[in-house]
Amino acid sequence: MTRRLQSGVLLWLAIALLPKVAAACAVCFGAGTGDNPDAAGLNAGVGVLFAVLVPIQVVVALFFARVARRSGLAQDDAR
Amino acid sequence: MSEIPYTTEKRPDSGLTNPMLGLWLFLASEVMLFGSLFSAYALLRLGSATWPSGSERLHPEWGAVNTVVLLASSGILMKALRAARKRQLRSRLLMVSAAVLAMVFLAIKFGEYRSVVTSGFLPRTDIFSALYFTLTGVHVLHLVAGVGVLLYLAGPGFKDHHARPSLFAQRVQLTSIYWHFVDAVWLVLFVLLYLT
Repeated sequence: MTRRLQSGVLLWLAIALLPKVAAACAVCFGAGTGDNPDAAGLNAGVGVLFAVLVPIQVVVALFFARVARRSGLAQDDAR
Repeated sequence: MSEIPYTTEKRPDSGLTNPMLGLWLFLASEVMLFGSLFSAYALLRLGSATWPSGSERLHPEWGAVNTVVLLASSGILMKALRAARKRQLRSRLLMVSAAVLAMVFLAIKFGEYRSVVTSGFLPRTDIFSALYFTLTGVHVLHLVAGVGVLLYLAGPGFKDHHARPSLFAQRVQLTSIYWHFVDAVWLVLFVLLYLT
């Protein structure tokens, strides 16, 4: 087992044995499921952010993939 | 130093002209800016035990008038684009009309700011007021920038209407797309702040 792999396993064990440290993000770990309005607000905020950012990032990625594909086709045509 | 050519031809790889690609990237960043503000709105609103009624604190009728004014300016700008593509001189008048309507929007908005502040609601008063002034303030800044561009195109920039008509029409098109975006943001703000 390489040293890098050993470090990874140790880190994973540390996280698994210390769940409070791993659960630093309350929203990601389901804190908003109760009646707490703060957590509900955080959940909604993160949800809105994802709903806006993810489609934009996907569209930008698809656009540049299209540019790369069309650029490759144009180079093939030129040869 | 070499310059990036301002071309009006579409690139074969992107299928877009360079300025159009730049505008869409800019609008993507704008969506992310407003998206983060709307995220803050959702976070603070749902995190609050109580939330004031926007229709009681603000002036929904002024907001509705502003909505009509902005939609009208967008429609006029579409006519201006059509006129610019046909090389008609009335495109200038139409752009000035759109800018005037935007100024009407700003006048009503500042009237509302004044009324809200006079009622004792400052940005520091509560979360709703802070959000109201922040969201509408950022929107107003975008509107002011748009008015500046419109007045430039109708003023000093109008020389390209004769000298480089296709370039001028493209500039009007880019401004028009930006304007529709600012319009769309206002529609969301109107619903979030005035109607809910």
